[in-house]
Amino acid sequence: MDCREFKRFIWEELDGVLGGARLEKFNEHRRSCPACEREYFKQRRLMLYMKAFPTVGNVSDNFRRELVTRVRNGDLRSHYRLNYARISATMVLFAVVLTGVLFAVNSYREYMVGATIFIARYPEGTEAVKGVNLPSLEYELQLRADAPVYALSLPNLRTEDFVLKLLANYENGEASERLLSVLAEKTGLLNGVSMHLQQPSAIAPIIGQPAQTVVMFPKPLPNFIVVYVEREDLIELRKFALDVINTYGKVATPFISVPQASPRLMDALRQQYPLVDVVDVGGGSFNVNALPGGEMPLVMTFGQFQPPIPPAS
Amino acid sequence: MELAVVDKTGSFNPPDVDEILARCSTGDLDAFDTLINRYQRFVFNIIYQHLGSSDDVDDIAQEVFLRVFKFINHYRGQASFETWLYKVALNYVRTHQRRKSVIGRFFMDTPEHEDETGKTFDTIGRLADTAEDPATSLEHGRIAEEIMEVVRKMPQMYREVLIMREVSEMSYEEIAEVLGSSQGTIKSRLNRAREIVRRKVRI
Repeated sequence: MDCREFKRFIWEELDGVLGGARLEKFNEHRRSCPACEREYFKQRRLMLYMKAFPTVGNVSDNFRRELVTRVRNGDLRSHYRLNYARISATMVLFAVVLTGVLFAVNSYREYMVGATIFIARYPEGTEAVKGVNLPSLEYELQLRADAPVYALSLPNLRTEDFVLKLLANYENGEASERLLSVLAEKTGLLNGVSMHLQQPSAIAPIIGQPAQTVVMFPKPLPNFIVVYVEREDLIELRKFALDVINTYGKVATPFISVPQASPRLMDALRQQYPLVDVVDVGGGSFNVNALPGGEMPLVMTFGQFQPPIPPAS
Repeated sequence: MELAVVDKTGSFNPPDVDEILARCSTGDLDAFDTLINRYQRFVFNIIYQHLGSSDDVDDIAQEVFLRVFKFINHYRGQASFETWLYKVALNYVRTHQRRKSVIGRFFMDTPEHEDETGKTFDTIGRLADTAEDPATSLEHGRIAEEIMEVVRKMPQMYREVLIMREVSEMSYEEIAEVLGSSQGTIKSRLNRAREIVRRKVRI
C-alpha cells in the first residue's frame, strides 16, 4: 500500500469498515511511514473532537409541562405566524411595479408598432428590387447659387417605411395633410399605392388589438427624392425626421441616439455643387430662424443610398 | 443514536415505544407526556447541534413535538421512530433557518424571545473533563471551537451529514433514510465534509 492509497482508507479505518488483508496492509504502512501515521492521528483526533461536540444535558420539566398544557388547551398552531399585512403590502407593491413595467413595455411597443401598423406589400416578384430608374440629381435640382439646398438622409429607413410612418403619423394627427401631400403625393411616392385593413389575428378584435393597414406598393420606391418645400414644411419635416431617426435609429443601433445625416449624401452634394450651401435638416446646425421664405430645394435619401456622383466640373 | 433493528414483531421500535405511539395516535395526552419525557433530550440535541446555537432551541423543540402530536398518524413504522423524529426535527430546523433569513424575518412574526434565564435546558461541553492540565484544556477548547466554527459555516448538505455521522453517530443507512438520499451520496458528502474540516482546522 502506498501513501496515496493509505490516505484514501484512513476514514474507512476510523469508521471501522476496513478489514481483512487491507487492514493488515494499512497497519503495516502506518508503522513504516511516519508522515502517514501523523496524518492518521490527525484525522483520528478530528473525529474524536467532533464526537465530543457539546450536547444538551438536562431538559427541565417546565418544557414538558408547558407543552402538554399547550396541547391540552388546543393551542396547536405554530407560534411562528405569517405576517399577512406585510405579505399583502408586498404583493400590492409587486403588482403595481409589474403593472407599471407592463404598461411601459406596452406603451413603447404601441409607439413602435404605431408606425409599423402600416405594412408594406409589393406585387409578386417586385419585392426588394431597389435602385432602379433613379432620377439624376442634376435633372431634378434647379439650383440657384445664392440659395442653399436642404438635405435629409434616413439611413435606417427604407423609402417604403418612411411612407408608412408618414401615413401612420397623418392618421394619428401627428403629421399634417400638407406634409403628406408635399412629400408623398407630389414626389409620386403614393402613385398606384393602395391600402386595405387587415386583422392581425382572429382574437385581435376581442383583445382590442388594432387592425393593421396593409399598404400595397405597385413597385419598389426610389431611395432618394427631390422636392421643393416651403419653410413650414421644412420645420415640420425636421420634427418628423428627428422622431423617425430617434425611433428607428435606436432600433437599428441602440447605442447611438444622436441623429446625423449620411456623410455620403452631404459629400456628394457638396462635391457636385461646390458653390451651393448644403444644410443638414436633421443635424444640430439646422437653424429655423435662418430659413428663407418661398420654396427651397430638399433632397431626401433612404436606406443604404449610394449617391450618383458626377465628375467634378 | 442506537442502530434500529427489526424485532420479532416486525417493528423497528421497542414494544413500549410502539405502545406509547399507539396511544398518542388516539390523542392520549398522558402518552404524549411520556413520549416527550423520553425523547425531549434527543430532540433538543438534534436542534442544538444542527442549529449551532442554543437560541430558539426551546421554541423549535415545542414546534417539533406539536408536529409529532399532530402528524403521529403519518408515522407508518417503515423505519424506527427515532429516525422519523430526526427527520421531523431536521426539517423544522431547516424551516427555522429559512425563517431567520432576511426575507423570512420580513414575512414572519416570530414569538417573543425569552432571555437566557428562560431556557429549559443546559449544555455540556464533553471535552471539559478530559484534559489533564489547564494548558491542554485550553488547546482542546480552541480546537473544538475551531471545528464547530468550520462545521457551522460549511454548506448545509455537508454539515448535516457530518453532524449525523460524527456527532449523532448514526449509520449510513439511517442518514440515508433521514435525508432521503442514497448511501453512496451520503458517503461522498461525508468525505467532502471531512476533507473541509481536515483542511481548515489547525491541529
